[in-house]
Amino acid sequence: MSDNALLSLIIFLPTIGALGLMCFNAKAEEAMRNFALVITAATFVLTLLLLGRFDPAQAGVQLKVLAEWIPNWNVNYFLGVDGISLPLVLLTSLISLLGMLASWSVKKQIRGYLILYLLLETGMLGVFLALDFFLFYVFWEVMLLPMYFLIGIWGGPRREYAAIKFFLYTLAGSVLMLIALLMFYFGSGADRTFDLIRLAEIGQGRVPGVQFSEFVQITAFILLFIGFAIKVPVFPFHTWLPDAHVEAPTPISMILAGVLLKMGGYGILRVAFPICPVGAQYAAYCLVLLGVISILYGAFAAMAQTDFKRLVAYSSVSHMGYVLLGIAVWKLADPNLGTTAGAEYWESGINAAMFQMLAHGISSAGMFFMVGVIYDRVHHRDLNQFGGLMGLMPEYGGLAVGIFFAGLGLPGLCGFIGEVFSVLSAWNYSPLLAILSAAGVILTAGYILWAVQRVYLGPEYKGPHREDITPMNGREASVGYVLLAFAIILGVYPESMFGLMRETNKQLVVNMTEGYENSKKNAPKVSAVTPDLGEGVLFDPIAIPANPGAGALAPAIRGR
Amino acid sequence: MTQTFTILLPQTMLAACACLLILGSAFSVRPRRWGGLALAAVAASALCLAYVSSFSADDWAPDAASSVLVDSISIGYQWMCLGLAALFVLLSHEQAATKTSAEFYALLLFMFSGMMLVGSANELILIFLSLELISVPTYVLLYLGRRDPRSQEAALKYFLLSVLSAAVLLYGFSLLYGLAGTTNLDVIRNILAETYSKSDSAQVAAGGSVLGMVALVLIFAGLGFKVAAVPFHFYAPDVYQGTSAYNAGLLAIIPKAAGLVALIRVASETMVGFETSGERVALILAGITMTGGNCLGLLQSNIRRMLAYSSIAHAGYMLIGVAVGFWDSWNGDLSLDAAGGLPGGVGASLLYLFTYSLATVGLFGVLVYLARPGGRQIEHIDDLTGLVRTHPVMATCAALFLFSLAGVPPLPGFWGKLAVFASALSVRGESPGLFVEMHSGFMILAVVGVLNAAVGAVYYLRVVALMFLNDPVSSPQPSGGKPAFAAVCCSAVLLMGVGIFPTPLFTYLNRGVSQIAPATVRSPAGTLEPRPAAIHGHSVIAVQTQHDR
Amino acid sequence: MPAVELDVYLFVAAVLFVCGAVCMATKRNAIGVLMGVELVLNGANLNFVAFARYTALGLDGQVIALFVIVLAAAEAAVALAIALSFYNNHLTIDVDRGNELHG
Repeated sequence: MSDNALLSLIIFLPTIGALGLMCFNAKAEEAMRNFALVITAATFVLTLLLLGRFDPAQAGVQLKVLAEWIPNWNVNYFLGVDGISLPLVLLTSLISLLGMLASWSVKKQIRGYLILYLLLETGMLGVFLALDFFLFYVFWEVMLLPMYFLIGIWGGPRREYAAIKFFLYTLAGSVLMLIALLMFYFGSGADRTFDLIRLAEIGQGRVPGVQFSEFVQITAFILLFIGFAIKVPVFPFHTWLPDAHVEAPTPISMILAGVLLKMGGYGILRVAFPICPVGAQYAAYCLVLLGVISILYGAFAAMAQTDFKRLVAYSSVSHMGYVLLGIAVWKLADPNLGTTAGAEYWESGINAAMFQMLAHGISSAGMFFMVGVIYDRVHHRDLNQFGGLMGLMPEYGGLAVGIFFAGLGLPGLCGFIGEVFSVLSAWNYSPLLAILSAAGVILTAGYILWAVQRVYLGPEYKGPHREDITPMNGREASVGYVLLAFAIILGVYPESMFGLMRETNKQLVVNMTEGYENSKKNAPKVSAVTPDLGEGVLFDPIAIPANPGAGALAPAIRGR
Repeated sequence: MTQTFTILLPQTMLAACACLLILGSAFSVRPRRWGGLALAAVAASALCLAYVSSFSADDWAPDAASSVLVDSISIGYQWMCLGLAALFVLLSHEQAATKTSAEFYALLLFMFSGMMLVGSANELILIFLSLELISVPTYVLLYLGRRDPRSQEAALKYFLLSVLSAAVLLYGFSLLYGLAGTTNLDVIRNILAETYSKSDSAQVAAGGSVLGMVALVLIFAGLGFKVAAVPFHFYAPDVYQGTSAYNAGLLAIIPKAAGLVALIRVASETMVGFETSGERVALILAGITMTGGNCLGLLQSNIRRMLAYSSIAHAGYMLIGVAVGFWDSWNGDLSLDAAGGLPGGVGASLLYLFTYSLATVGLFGVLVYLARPGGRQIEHIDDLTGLVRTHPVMATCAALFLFSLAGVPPLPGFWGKLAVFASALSVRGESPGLFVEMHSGFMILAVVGVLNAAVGAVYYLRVVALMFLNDPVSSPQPSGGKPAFAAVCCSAVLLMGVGIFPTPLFTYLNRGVSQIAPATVRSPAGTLEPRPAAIHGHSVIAVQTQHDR
Repeated sequence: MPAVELDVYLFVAAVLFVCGAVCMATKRNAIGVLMGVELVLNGANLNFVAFARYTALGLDGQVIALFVIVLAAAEAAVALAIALSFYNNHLTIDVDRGNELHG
């Protein structure tokens, strides 16, 4: 299979599956479930093929696919993978497969559910594989609609509120992204482009004659960051998350926590940082601070919950804080020259952030799944009414405790690596913030251990529906075992993932530090009376007269 | 002369058929038959239009003083009008099944004829008369067949405010006539371009002469009523609520489209030299219209009232394109039209109009098709609760239309918004300093616009949520008949098609590429060489400037 | 006989315009409002005729004025029908009585 077909098939196989589901008899629910499961499994296998073709020693984008989509806008169907996107693509297809296995708990309107689920998978994979900003944006929005219906129709009692809140938050973020997208587009020179690689080169001052000015970079970065921060979610923008997670059905919660939250971090690494080095540096302290606030706030909020699922939801806010912390620890040695201090710490921070995203994808999906398993049996999630489940369901109890410990960050499990390395790299940036974020680790241990104690240990189960507590069935157990296995593999052998992303992240750091220095070098002096039209006009070369005769146009760009 | 008649053939055909229908109403024919005849009239007009569009640019003899024009915009706009006419005729299947059926269809055809005429007019007075050709049948249509106090109140309110707006518009036209000494738009444009040549930037910066500015403001006021721009919008919610869903659909599309095209023709493209004031007026109107419409839309529970505010908000987005159109016509060589394959301000505005009309006709079509269990029309948005269970096709179509209006990609509403915001962000400010890049006013407007898009999504989504996420309380009954059902499905299919393959539209609306050279030598946006002084140019300006002092 | 300047005509037309607008805003009677509109229309007509006369443009302005007069008559016909039917329902043509639609 050619690269071209492989990448397109990965994205659109779920869509094809969704169309295939239309052919089934409405009564054949079991057949539809199995068919959808086969589709997600096939997608997972395809992503493994992708992994086989990927060369981790190369830093750049590989396996590119390029075709024209809307020539008027110079929008291309441009796909590719690099060390940042490949691990997330693998995570997406894995979590989609496991989520599909967990979908047997969904009972009503099964055909609609499966179709929307598969469309959602297309949207998610598209976001991670798109290298054209416009295509990225379209997939980003396309993902929104299935998610809205999945929460809104199959969710819990307050599903409508949660679905609308989720939709509006994300939409508000994405329209701000739209403005940034158009700013880049019109700033990208005569051959306007949405190509993320080209835009990054322009932003880093590696294309002669065109560069985004500091103003554009900072404005666009803020717009993009708000859009992505809503998805991550970062502290002041997080309020949609507990509602959406709590109301969503179990498999959708797994996808939300396991994949959708990663899109925020991915967007920052793929779009916001490379294109706007100046903006990123400008906002770095604010980002790190928001990361630390998210860590602490999420942990305290989780501690205060009595709803099991809400606790897990707030733990996501806390864990994703480490991602932001790791990404943003970019310290300058000399602000005037724009040189970077300790680039290797920053690089390890980015690696840690990426790893934390993967680890959180595994552990939080697992935690939501574990909550879902018990909720299916006893139909409540009140922490104060649990207890003694270890005795009633030993297999479930063991798996759950293992996965919760992975979330806690126990050494040897996946959560540990990301947290520790991001805190370590933060030390170079600001010891105070590093200490505060390290305190978050202790808080995390506090609320998770307390929850484990209240749910799984304790004397005996006193809540309702005691008679319904049956051992896990094979399907549920397999999901649990797979997740725990990945948690252990990542924890014991982190190089499996670090190896994929190392070169790409190294290149990213080099490019961004150079880009920042270039911006400092090229920036026009504010006091200059007549700006140098050759290089000084950073924004739009079209405005520069191409021939001497056109110089007469200059006064026509009106003075008001 | 014959050329003028050829160009006006489609409109003439519609109007002639309308006259025949009125004559025919004397004979007793089964009411349903008239719908078929009206559809035949639309088809005949489409044939004429196909004939007109078959000419290439070189076939038209240049005629600088012609009162009609042909360009790519007028042709495309007329095709859109005819498509809408066909959809509306189909939708009226049950609505018109009364003894006034023939008159109903005649009025409908007159309205569409006026709507098309605006697109071809190259003359102030022709534009004014074609707007009246829309308004007068509207008054009668609002009144026809419904005798309850609410619809009469709606008819009276609409009538009084509409004639006022027409009078204000005419006053503005009279001042523009005095300014340029002619009513031909091309000649006005040339005279103004000569008067306010680019080298004389002081006068342009000041916004043009006082007389012209007054004319511009009055024109904006008069046409602002037609497009339902805040603060000339207040009739819309009352009238939409008071009248039937069908009439509300007509009101949401026909006057808005005609008003927008007239605004583009008379203001953005013609009043060169007044672009500083024109942009300012349009920017402010656009900002308050979007924000006002969306914010008030949030508070509504009556579906037609909500859609009225939504139509107001969308007028705001279209006005962004009008504002950019002023800039484009002055700095044509820098505009999107000239630079890329993208539509500039005017093209973006028209693209938005097209996507809006498509979604709106479908949405009102759903309301026409459905009725409450008692047979009365859908009033409250709660009447649509759980629609997906009772009428899955209608609910899916309605959701598509609503998402398109909300601007979710890849539906056409998104492309419209994208084109409008892109044109706004393509406007460049003046001094090439550190922050050269964007014109701050347009930049702010674009940000206000996208935030508005998010606010607007709230009330569209509320309706979708009611239809899809709740169980039905009562089951609406289909009352529109099969043709209405077909019309709704047609618009939904068209909507999806345009959404997934928008390229032809963008290409068509890019005037740098697709300009069909016109019967009247209509210069493409951007080339501002004044042509040899038309009729009485110089003397008029002499009088006018003297007067201004 | 002293020549009457163009300014004077324009001034009268502007006065008519303002009177019409004020009349629209203050009158509560539908027919009164309609008369206000007629004033505005005639202000515009006066402008057209005056401009045509003072710029030696031929008869354009005068012809336009005729068009507008015919149009105003057509509108008045529709207006009377609407007012009559409003009267049948409300037993008044006070436009403030139409207050069922608001929100």
